[in-house]
Parts: sequence; C-alpha cells; structure tokens
Amino acid sequence: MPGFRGVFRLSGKEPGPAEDVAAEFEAHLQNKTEALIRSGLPPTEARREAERKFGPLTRYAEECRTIDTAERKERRRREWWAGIWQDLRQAARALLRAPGFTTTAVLVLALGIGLNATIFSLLRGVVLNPLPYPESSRLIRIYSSNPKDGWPHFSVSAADFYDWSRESKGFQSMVAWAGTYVAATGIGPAEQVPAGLVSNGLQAVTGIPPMMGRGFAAPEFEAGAPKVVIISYGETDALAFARLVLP
Amino acid sequence: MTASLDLLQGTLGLLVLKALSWRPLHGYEVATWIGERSELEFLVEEGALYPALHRLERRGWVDAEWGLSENNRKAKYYRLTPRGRSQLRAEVTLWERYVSAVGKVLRTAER
Repeated sequence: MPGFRGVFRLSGKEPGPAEDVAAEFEAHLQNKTEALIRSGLPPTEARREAERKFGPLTRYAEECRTIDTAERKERRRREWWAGIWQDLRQAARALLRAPGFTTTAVLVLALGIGLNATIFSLLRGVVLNPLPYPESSRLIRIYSSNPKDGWPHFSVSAADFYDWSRESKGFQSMVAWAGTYVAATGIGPAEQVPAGLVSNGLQAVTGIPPMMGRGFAAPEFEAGAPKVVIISYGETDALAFARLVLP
Repeated sequence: MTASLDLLQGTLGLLVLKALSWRPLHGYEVATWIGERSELEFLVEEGALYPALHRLERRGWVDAEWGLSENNRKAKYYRLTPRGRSQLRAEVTLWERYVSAVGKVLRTAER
C-alpha cells in the first residue's frame, strides 16, 4: 500500500490547476517510459512511444484544467456556504442557551421593526407616493407665502395667479384650484358634496384626459357660460352619482 | 494490432470507478489495471483517462490527493468516496440491464 503523505500540503500552498495537471501527466509518462524500457526499448524510443500512446497531451491537459478550475470554484462556494451555516447554527445554540436575553432581544426587535414599518408605510402613502399622473415628479404646488407674519403658505389671489401664469418662464403650464362644497339636488334629498373649482388648463397640467367624456372647454370659463362638472372617481361611485344628478 | 474501440465517456467513468473499488490508485495504475483486465480491447489513448478521472472528482465520486508511490515518486492518488461507491453500484445495474436488452435484440436478428 503506498504511503499517503500529502506532499503538497506540507508546502502550505495548493498548486494551480496548470501545474497540477502537468505534474500528473509527467508522472504517468515517466511510469510508462520505465515500463517500456523494462520491456526492452531504448530510453529515447521508450519516451517517444509513451508520449504516442498517451495521445494529444495539450488537448487532454486543457480539458483537465477546465474541469479542475470549475471544480475549485464550486468547492470554494460550498465551503463558504458551509461556513455560513455553521456560524448560524452556533449562533442559534448560543441564543437557546440564554433564553432570557433572547426573549428580550426578540421583543425589542419586533417592536422596533413594527414601529418602523408602520411609520414608513404611512410616509409612503401620505408623502412619498407619486401622484397618478404622467411625469408626476414635474408636478408641483405653488403657494403664496408670508413667513414674517407667520403665514408660511396660504392661498394665491386670482391676480397673482394670472400674473404668474403669464410671466413665469419656469413652468410649462399652471392651473388654479380651490376646494369647496356644492349642493347636489335631484332625485332624493339635497346633499353637500365636496368639489374643486379649477381654472382653464387642468388637462394641460395633469397631462391626462378624463376617463369618460371630455374635459372643460375654453368657452365654459367665460362669464355667464353654463356650469359644467367633471365627476371624480374618488369616494363616490361616479356612475351612481351621475344618474342621480343628471337628467 | 487490434483496433481500439471508441469508448463513450460514461463507460470509461464506470471502468475507472470499478478500478478504484478495491484501493486507491494513481492514474497510471488505473490505465494498466483497465488494460490488463480488458485484454487489449480497451486500449484507448491513455490520456483519455485523465479527463474521466477529473470529472469523477468534480462529481464527488472520487477524492484526489498527492502522495508517494512505491518507487518513491510523487503521484496523484484517486480514492472512491462512499457516494462514488453507490454510484458504481447503480451504474453496474444499469449497464447489466442495458447489455441484456441489447443482447436480446441482437440475438433475435441472427434468425
């Protein structure tokens, strides 16, 4: 039985695939050469015959090198994962040995994560969620401001709005809007319904037409023109409301 | 000189696993072992053995380790792993069924 001293291990460094394969092939050729010499061939003949019987050395060497490089990569990955698993198992055992600490830590983490999740989902819904219009990052709200007297934002006067929309160069289009309530009458008792008043140019700013029907037309903004509404999709069932108020 | 048969890579792997089933061997020993037992029919190019060996190592069916041979020379020894041993059993069964099936067809054709 041959001895099993890991010769390369002693030197501390693993040889690369190229050297390893070359050494293995050379060992084979030397063995074969010796066997042929024993069977009567002269040394140079023997070596040549050994190489001939081996076949295309470079091709086999390249094949083996490819296989080896792949194998080493796979082995390193496996060992890395095994290391991670081992660390996890050790951590789990340590935690189970100290149940008081573990329970406290878990509760604190749960509380902290829960609070964070709540806060950030609120933030996303209320503050960070984009408006459902194309290029919503380009939509902004403009207020009048009087910080000296303690009014950081307040509503814009009509005159200011007309001046700004006419003279400002930084904005593609502007629209003014105000919230109000209107009385909806028709079939059934009158209801107070939240409504928005808008100036001409809503569609230019939002970038989309209404889902059904058309948007406001310029003549409808003249004094004395018939009043028109766009029914919102939001809290009311738009179609039910339409059937209620329209003839 | 008998023409050497073209062995499928898979069959060569099976022969190597069998060769290693008694004790670890290095590449040259595997070549001589197969050569002796198959009585010259399987004189494939000796170099073809090495990709087969390296593939077996990659699949985890053999382990390879450098050691010293009897004549005190460095040699890379291949050893069958437990998984390799089960693989050998499975492949032998498969081979025997294959041989029996093909044999049946070939014998029928003679008539």
